[in-house]
Amino acid sequence: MKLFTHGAEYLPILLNGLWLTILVTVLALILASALGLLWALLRTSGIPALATPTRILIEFLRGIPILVVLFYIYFVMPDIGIDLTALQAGIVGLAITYSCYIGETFRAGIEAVDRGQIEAAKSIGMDRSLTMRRVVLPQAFKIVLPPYGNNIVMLLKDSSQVSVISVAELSMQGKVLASSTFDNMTVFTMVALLYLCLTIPLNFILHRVEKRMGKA
Amino acid sequence: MVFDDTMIAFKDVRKSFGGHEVLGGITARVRRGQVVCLIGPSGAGKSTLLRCVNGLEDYQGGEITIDGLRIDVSSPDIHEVRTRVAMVFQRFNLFPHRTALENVMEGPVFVLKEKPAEVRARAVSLLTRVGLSDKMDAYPAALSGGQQQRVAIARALAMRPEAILFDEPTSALDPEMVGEVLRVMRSLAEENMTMLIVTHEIQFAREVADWVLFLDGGRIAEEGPADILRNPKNERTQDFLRRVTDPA
Ligand SMILES: Nc1ncnc2c1ncn2[C@@H]1O[C@H](COP(=O)(O)OP(=O)(O)OP(=O)(O)O)[C@@H](O)[C@H]1O
Ligand SMILES: [Mg+2]
Repeated sequence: MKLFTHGAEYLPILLNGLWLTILVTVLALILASALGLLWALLRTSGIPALATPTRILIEFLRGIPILVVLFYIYFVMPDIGIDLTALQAGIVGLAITYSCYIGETFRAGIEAVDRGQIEAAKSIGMDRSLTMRRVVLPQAFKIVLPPYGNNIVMLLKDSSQVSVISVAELSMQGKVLASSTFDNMTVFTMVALLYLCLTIPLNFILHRVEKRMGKA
Repeated sequence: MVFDDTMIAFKDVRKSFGGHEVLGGITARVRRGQVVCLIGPSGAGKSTLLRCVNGLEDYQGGEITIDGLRIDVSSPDIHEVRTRVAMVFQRFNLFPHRTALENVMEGPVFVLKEKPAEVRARAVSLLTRVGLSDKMDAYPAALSGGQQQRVAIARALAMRPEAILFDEPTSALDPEMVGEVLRVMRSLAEENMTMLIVTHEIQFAREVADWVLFLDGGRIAEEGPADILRNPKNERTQDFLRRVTDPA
């Protein structure tokens, strides 16, 4: 058996996939966080006309598997004139799905901020937006950091799902490589290790940030 | 127009939560430079009345005015109106992510848009005044309750309010810290700061109050100069005073 002897040959191909995994994750994360914040602000706006549709939208999206969202964006959207590349569709699909999880995380954080804080902000004349920016969000951020970190790690792992619409990220490259070399053991071990090369440092960084934030 | 020194006026103020009437027609006023103490049993509506003054609660009937300006929670200038009356809370409500100094500077810099350098100088002198010159850079979590409440008073003063509302400012404090907060409040009274104070500190009220309102069941049961705390006429007032001054 040629166990692990070809690792060096496989590495560049897998690194290509790794790079795409990072790209998909980072872009989807940015988009999902921005959307998630928007959902959270709408849901906590105290204005039913904004809060209720947002709640329904989130419930709705959360009930659909990522795979189906990806298929929908990649295969159905072109029918209504929205033509995205596989990579774009993958990023958008992940972002939309994760905006719901992240939005709920943010909302819980905002609602966990003590009522007295909002009253103190009001009592010195802050309006809604200033109260949000100066008082609520900084405190919510701290509360939210551990579950948000969790969302990020999950998103990174779920980025492998975009392979179903043929985005050649890490897991996809692994599968292609394995089926052409029949060296399943080496390839998938390397794929797993490469994912860990991302998730372990990520967890470490998140822990450090949490600790630092905990002090202030 | 006749000269009128009324700072805060309540005219037949009514409020209910759901069907439950909490304020049943309050008429009273706080004159400029006066200290008015609001006392009464739990659930009497003291906090609610106070919170209506700066629009933390709305009210359904009557009218509250500050310096002639009507308080209306739904009006767009409520935020501006709130900058005129400061509030000190029972549980301090300092911003935990900001230092003592930043807490004091927050309103003037971000709401009143004053120059940070000027505000800083004022904040430093206010914190010094309340005896916290060595705690400027401390976060609230590192301060005792008494110290936090003094920062909260400095935060209120930094807005240069026309009046300050206090809702049981010493009730959440350990007994040994009550004195330091009352001392600061006493000095404000001496400088003729307009204050409306909900308190159970009867001794303190006797000393500083120009006027006392005894609230019971959402109505003013008795009112008068601080003397009424010595010789109350109303039976409920007598009862209440007996209980708070002799808790056993
Ligand atoms: N947000 C609210 N919703 C419903 N009822 C309320 C609310 N806030 C206060 N109440 C009711 O209004 C009444 C007056 O409450 P308030 O807090 O003004 O009393 P208080 O005189 O300040 O009492 P305490 O001395 O206990 O602070 C009470 O019966 C209380 O249960
Ligand atoms: Mg109260």
